[in-house]
Amino acid sequence: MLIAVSATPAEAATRHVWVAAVPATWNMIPNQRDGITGDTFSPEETVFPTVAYRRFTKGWKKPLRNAPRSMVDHDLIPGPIIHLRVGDRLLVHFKNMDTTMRNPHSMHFHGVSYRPSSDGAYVPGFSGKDANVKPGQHWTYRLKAGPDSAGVWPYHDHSPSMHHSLEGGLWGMLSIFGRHERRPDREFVTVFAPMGDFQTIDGRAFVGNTPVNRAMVGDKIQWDVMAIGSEHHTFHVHGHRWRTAAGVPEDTRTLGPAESFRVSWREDAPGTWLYHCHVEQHMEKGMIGIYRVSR
Amino acid sequence: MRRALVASAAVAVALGAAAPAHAASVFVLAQTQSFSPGQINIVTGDTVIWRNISQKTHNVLFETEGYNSGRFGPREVRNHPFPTAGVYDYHCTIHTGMIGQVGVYPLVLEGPATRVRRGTTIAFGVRAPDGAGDVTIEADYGAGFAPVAAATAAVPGPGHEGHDEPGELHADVAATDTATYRAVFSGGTSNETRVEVTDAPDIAARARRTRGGTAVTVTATPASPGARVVLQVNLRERFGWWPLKRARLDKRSRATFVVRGQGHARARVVLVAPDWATPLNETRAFRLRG
Repeated sequence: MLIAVSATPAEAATRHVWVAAVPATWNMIPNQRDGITGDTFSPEETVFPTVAYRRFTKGWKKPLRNAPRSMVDHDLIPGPIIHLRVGDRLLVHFKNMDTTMRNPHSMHFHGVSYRPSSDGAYVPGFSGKDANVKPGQHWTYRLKAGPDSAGVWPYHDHSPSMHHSLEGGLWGMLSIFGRHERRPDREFVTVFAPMGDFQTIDGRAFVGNTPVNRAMVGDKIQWDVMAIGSEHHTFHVHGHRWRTAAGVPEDTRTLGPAESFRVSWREDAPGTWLYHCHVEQHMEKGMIGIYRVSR
Repeated sequence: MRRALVASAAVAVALGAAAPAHAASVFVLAQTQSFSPGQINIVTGDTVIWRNISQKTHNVLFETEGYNSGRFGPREVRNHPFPTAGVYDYHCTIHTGMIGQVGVYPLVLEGPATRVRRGTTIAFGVRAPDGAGDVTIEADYGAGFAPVAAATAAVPGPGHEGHDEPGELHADVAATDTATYRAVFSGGTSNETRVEVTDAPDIAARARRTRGGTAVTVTATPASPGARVVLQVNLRERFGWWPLKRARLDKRSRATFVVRGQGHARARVVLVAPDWATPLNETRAFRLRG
């Protein structure tokens, strides 16, 4: 799906997003194989029960897709991709619907401004309900995208159950554009995160399972990249280069836990390309995908 | 028969020239990041041969037993005999998480690798040593092991004398319920193998062309309202079978998938467990109709 190139809004907006933590059964490798080596895996190795963020309509009445298919071609993990512009206010209405594991959850946002009551980070004796939303309860996080918020940023569970939840995929991304910044034609979400015995991109492992990203020659494309977990990764796309803020060309960039960045270029290289983490052990464990550019 | 028996468990067996009489050599494939099969059961005295079919260098280390194969590269093999019964764990020290296990038993029981439909027959194979004598198949349905069948010599092939060759025994057991099985003789007990008996129905799919796509109607016999079915399509960019749509069978035990934009791709419908991934049954592959 093409992302519309919208006219930049004249005034800052207040955006409401309805999100819930929902139980799910997640399959990291739906085709049950590593398409490059031919190694096969059984559902016992690749399927697990988890809790993920799910976008809803107002009042958590009806579930929605977390992101357009053009950004992530599967659903649920990562959580909702939340778009803002600098100056926007964001109200995230969060409900804990974890009725299976019955753990507390929260949402903690990077890259935006908020009061402590919207931090979502559990500190015994200090934090409030925002950091420890019990099953069936809800909380509204009040955030603002300031002048230094342009970019992509993680959000994730920071409740008492965060360490278990993060390995299960309870995280998502903010994508914030400048007040007058032109949005790209294509935007791809790439989250590096370990899951069980595998290294995943957006919760999926190995080519064909990880998102198959698509663009056309001439498109302005943008990769939104972040890392969750305790390891460093190196984002690499075959056949392409981009420039750093200092104007230096590069085709590989390193990021550590909770770090994030966006890179973009005007597409001019048709073909099917690999994108992956260049830490070889991570590639072998599934942190690799394909990117298809058509004329 | 011996070859066919073990090959059914995805383990290739050949008579080992250097092994003791009647001992077998069992192959394990060293893949890029895993051993396949990861777990094998062999008869006391058999030799395991690891064949590296990947582009990586591997090794095999049994820490408890002390055997270290040393590094072996693509297309190379390493072998090791197992003269003593026991369960031996090993791993590749070069690739984290690349682990395997060898179970060594006086006799080995081999059952079906997939679920068995209730009311059918479970075919077991037994590899036993020379002169094993009477071999009995025992089942544990939850109240302890009890005999359910006697293993008999397999039908001899051409030129086979059929008297005291090891291994070629078989037994048929009625699939009444899920159970754990083992084989027993005077010299000991085999490995245990669990056979899940399922009531999973047979499913059928019919594809018909509709305006701009294909409608795939799925039915189950016997009727199974609520059963989970997944429409899979074989896609080049997905490197295999890819779950495209999923549904629960309705009150009439039917579901219809409407597919657009997949051309004439090969498709199939898979009946799955509640995890939406474990296959219970599947249709034959068919073509979508554009």
